Amino acid sequence: MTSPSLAEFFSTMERFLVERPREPTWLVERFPGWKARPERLAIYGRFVEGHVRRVTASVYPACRELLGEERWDSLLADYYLTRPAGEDPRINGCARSFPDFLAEREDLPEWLAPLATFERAKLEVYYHPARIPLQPEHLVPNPTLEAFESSWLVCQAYARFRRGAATPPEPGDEIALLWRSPRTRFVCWRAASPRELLALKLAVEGISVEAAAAAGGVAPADVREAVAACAREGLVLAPAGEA
Amino acid sequence: MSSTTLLGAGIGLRREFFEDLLASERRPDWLEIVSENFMGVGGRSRWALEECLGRWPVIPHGVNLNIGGPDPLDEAYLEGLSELVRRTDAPFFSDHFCYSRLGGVYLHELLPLPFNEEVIAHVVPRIRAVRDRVGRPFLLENPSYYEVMPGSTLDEAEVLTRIVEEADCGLLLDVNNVYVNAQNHGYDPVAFLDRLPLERVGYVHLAGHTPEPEAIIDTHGAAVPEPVWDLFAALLERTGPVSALVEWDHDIPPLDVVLDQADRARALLTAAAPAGAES
Repeated sequence: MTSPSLAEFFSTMERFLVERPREPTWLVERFPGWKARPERLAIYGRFVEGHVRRVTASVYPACRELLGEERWDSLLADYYLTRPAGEDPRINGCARSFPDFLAEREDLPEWLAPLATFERAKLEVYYHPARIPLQPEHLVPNPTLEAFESSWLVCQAYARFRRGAATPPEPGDEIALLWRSPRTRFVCWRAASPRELLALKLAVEGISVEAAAAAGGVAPADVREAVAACAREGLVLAPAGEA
Repeated sequence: MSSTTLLGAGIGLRREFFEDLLASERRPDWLEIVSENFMGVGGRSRWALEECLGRWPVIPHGVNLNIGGPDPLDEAYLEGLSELVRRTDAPFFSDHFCYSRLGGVYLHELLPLPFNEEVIAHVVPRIRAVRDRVGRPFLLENPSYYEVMPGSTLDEAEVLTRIVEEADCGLLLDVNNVYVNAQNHGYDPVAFLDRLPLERVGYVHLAGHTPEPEAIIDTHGAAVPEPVWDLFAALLERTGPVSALVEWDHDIPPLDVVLDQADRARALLTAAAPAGAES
């Protein structure tokens, strides 16, 4: 058997595993005299693609269910060819570019990429490296907060999926808010209502309750209650005694 | 502590166990974490790690160091790993004799290297560089492999021995992998053990596997099978007590099932200890 250099070995394995799924016999034929069993080599091709499929399915369960298994499988085969694992050594990294991949496709429902963006945000918030201050000096937004605008009602659709009644998102303007609960460390989400937007405006811009009430023509007690409700849910974080 | 610090019988910390482990009255002797799952993340993972650090020794065990790969060592990865090793104050850390990245893409699989001189010359300086960068002893794990890669002119035992001796690192001996490889490639696993530098074994992995038509697959998805326990006992006859870790990564059962496996490992360690000594 001709002995390949290590560089030749890696180059061939890259073509086998990364560039495009190939038959194991193709790999055996690249190294004349190699007595490899193709069915054993197939294990590696299966594993490498399988990791991408398994992780992507686990991060985007609503997208998967709404697309259906056959279409999902076909889509994942195409996604794998984009080398999705990239440079992130964490295994969830191989699912990160999925919403961008979907957004570039013209043969998919328009709501799919926004729904995937929501599911990716859930993952990012869950693992967000920020520490959540339990006793901030002043009102602040939850540092794990992710917000994105969509022309589809993805929060409602995701809630239906969680209840076991998945149907696609309906059209409509929405700002999805996702943040990690300081109490449970799990991810909370909601379509922003005026209450959340008010509490976030106070937290981000440092506006006082009284100033906000005067500007909005509402009672300070109403503003205070809106902020307190959002603080109880961890969307904003209030100093001790103010929530 | 050195790379042969005796830790007892431990389990892998998986997110499925976070709350149950912290609430349980049963206690493993130590924990192993998959390094990448705790590098640069917050939330439940960081909370669980911080809680565990106050109760157990915690050892980072990586899957994507890519010690045998063609790409340069990933500086960002090494920075994250170094920070994790410092944070856990681990006496050593480990990863696999394999490659896991090609063309800049992480493949999340422990891919086997050819067994030859070029691989030894490639891996040894990379191990030294990693150890120097992280500043703690490094253990290299023997992986499972389903086919001998092209260009192999040596065998696995010789390559592993040469690498750990020339790099002066420890050996994380996966007993299940020895068994799986021996079955898949038709050799005597005990004779294989006798060819390794067992004085360098820092700790041992114990895990389950899955027989498939084409090969026995190293799945970490079942209890440690009896032949693997037997091989572990044969190892202990040669080494005396060594730290042992039960790995369970797929089809994860209730915590107590894994702790039962750790208890069995601990009993073997105790039996292997010289009379009057503690394992």
